Amino acid sequence: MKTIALYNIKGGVGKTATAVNLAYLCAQEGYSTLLWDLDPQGAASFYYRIKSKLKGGADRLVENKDSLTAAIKATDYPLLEMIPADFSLRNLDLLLEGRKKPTKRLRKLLEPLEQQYDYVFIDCAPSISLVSESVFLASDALLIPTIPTTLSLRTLQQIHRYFDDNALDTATLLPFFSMVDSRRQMHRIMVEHPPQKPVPFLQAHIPYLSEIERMGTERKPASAAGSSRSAKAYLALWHELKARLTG
Amino acid sequence: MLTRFDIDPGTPMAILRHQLMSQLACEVVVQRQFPRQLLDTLDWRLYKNGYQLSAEPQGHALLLQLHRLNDDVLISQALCPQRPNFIHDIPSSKLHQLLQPQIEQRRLLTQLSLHVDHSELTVTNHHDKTLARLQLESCRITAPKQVRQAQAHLIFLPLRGYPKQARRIHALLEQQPGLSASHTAALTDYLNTLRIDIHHFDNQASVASSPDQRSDQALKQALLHQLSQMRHHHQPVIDDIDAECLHDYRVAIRRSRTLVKGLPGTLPKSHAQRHLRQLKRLGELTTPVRDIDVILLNLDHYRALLPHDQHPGLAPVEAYLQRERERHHRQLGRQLTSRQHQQWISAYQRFLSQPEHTRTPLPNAKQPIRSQLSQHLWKHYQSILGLGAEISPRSPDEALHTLRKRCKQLRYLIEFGQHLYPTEKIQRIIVLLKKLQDRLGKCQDLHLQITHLGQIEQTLTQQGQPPLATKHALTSLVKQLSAQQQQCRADFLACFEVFASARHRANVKELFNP
Repeated sequence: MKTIALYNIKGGVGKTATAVNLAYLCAQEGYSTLLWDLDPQGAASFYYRIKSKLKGGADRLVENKDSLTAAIKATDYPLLEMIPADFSLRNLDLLLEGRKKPTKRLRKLLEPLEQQYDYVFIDCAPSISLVSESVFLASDALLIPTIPTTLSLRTLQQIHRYFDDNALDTATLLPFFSMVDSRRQMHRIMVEHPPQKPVPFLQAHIPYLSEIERMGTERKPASAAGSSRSAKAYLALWHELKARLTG
Repeated sequence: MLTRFDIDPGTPMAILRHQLMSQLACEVVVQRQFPRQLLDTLDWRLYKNGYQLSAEPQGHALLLQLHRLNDDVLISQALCPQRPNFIHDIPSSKLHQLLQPQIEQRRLLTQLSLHVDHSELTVTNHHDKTLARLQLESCRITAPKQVRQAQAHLIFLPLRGYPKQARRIHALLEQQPGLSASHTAALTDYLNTLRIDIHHFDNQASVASSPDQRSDQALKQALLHQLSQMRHHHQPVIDDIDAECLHDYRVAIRRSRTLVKGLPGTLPKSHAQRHLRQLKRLGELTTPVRDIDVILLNLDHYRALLPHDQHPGLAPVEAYLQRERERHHRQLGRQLTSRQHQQWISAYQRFLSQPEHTRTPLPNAKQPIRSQLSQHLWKHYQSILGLGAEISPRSPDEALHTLRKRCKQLRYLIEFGQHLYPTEKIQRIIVLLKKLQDRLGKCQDLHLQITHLGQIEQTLTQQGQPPLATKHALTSLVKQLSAQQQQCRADFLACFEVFASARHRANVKELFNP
C-alpha cells in the first residue's frame, strides 16, 4: 500500500481537487483506493457526496487501531472508498497530543488497511501542526500543489527546511505546479523553467480551469469527464506520480 | 447477506424493474445490450481460484473486469485496446499484477460468450449519493453453443458504509415476488447448463480407490484417466492453444509410461510393450516443439541477462525458432490427426476398458495395490539414493538427467497412490521430492538451453545468416547460463543431502518398507 498526502501550508492551492481527481484516476485503473479527508472543511467529502460525519467524531477515529475501517464509505465509483471528514477534526491536534507517540498515530491507524488498499490519498488541512507531522510520517510521498508565485516557492522552502531540521526524508517531497494560468507571464516562466531547489518539481502541472472549479457544482471529479483538459492534466500527474512511487 | 437472486422465468424484467423503482425510489441509470465474453485458461484457473474475468466493449476498447465469484465483488478492472490472448496483452495495471501469477503463460480463451440485456438501478439519498446498486441482467449464452433460454438474475450491490439502507433493501428483495435467492455464481449456472466439466484438464494422477484393490484394476483406472487427459488435450495441442497445453499433454504421456513400466507383471506383457512403444513415440514427436517453447519462453529472461545493445542480436534467433516451431508443429499435427494414431488410441482405450479376469497368469495383477506399489516405491527410492550419491560437481549432465527421470518416475508413482498412505507423511515425502526435482529440473533446463543455443548458432552459421551481433549475444548468453548451471549444480548437491538424510530415509522406510 502506498500513501500519498496532498499537503501545503497554504490553502486554496488545489490540494482537494488534486486528491479527488488522483484518487478517481487511480481507482479507474483498477487499484483499490482510499481517500481520507482529513480537512475539517470536508471539501473532498462534499465532492463525493458523502456526508462529513464520523460516528463518534475524531475522538473515536484515533481511539483504536481498527477505528478507520468502521468509518469507510464507498463512493459512487468502483474501487474507490473514502473516510469522510468531520468538523471535529479541527481538534485532531489536541487528540493526538494526548496519546503516546502522537506523530506515529496516523501510520498506526493505516496499518490494518494495508491488505485492503493499493493506494491511500490523504487530503490534508492547510497547516503545520502535530497532525501534519503525523501525516508526514505516515506517507510515502507528499504531493505539494504549488501556485507558480514567489510566495508559494517560499512556502515550499519552509516545508523543505522543516523536513531537514526534523530529519525527515526530503526525497518524499514532490511539488508540482497547480492552478497554472498560462496568461500570466510569471506562471509561464516558472512552469517552463521550474526551480530545481530545494527539490525538483514534477513535470506535470495542473492548469487553472473552470471545469475544475465546476466540481463544486457538479459534485464529481473533473476527470470523470474522460478526455477533458483537466482529465488529461490529472492523468499526466498521476502517471508521473505512479512512476516515482514504483521506481 | 446474499447478493444474488434468480429472476423467475415467468417474471418479465421490465415489470420487475418497474416494481423495484416504485418500492425503492430508485432510478434506472444504465440500460443497454451488449456482448460479454467470459475469459479463462483452458484449465479454468481463474474459476477454480474463485474469480470471473469478463470483457465488454467500452468505447473503442474492451473493459476487463475481475469479479469474485462468491459475492460478485469487483476486484479490479482495466481497459484493453483489444481482446487479450496472453498476459502480456493486458496493459501494465493492477489487473495485470493479479492475473499474472494465476494464468502465467496460458492463453486466455473465450470460454463463454453471452448476449446481455443489462439495466442498473441506483438507490440514492437526498444528496444524490448512491447507497446501493441493483443490476438486472438477462443473459443468453451464444457460445460455445447457442442456448435459447436466457438466464435472468439480479445482483444486489450495497455500497460500503450504509448498512441500514442495505438491510432494508435486502429485506425487500427477499420478499419480492419473482425473485428467489441464488446460492451459485452465474458462471456456475452457465457451466451446468452447458454441461461443461471444468476438471477435464486437471492434470492430477488418478488414485486407486482402496489399499486392497487389485493392482491391475487400479492401474487401468489411472491409465484411463491419463488417456482422457491426452484426449482432452489432443485438439488444443493441434490448435496450438499455448505452450502449457503441450506440456500437460506430455505429462499425461510420461505418467502413462511410468505407470505401465512401474508395476511390472500387472498388465499383459505384449500389450504393455506395444502401448509403451506408442507412448514413447508420441513423447518423442512432441519433444522438438517443447524444446523450442522452452527457449522462446525464456527470451525475455535472456534479454534481461544481456546489455541493452545486444538485444537486437536475438531477433534472428527468435525468427529462426518461430519458423522451426511452425514446421515441427505442422508435423506433430499431421501425426496426431493420422489414421494410425486414431487407431492406436482406440485400441489403447479398448485394452484399458477390458474387465479384469478373475483368473490371470500375471503374477502381480491380483496383488493388493498398496503392498505392490510400496515395494516398487521403495526400490525406486533406493535407486535414486544410489544414483544421487555418485553425482559430484564434475559429473556429466547425463548423470543428472538420468537421476531427474528417475525422480519424476518416483513422483508419478507416489502421486498415483498417494491416497493409500497417511496424508501428512506422504506429503512430506512429496515436498522434499519436488524440491529435489526443481533443482534437477533447473540444471537440466540450463543444460538443454545451452546445448540448443549452441546448435542454433551452428545452424544459422551454416545457413550463412547470423550477424555479428547475434553471435555476440549467443556467446554472452551461453557464458552466463553456464555460470548459472554451476550454481544450480551446487544447489542440487545441497538439496540431495537433505533428501538422502537418515531422517528422511526413516520416513520413507516407515511408509514403503516398514
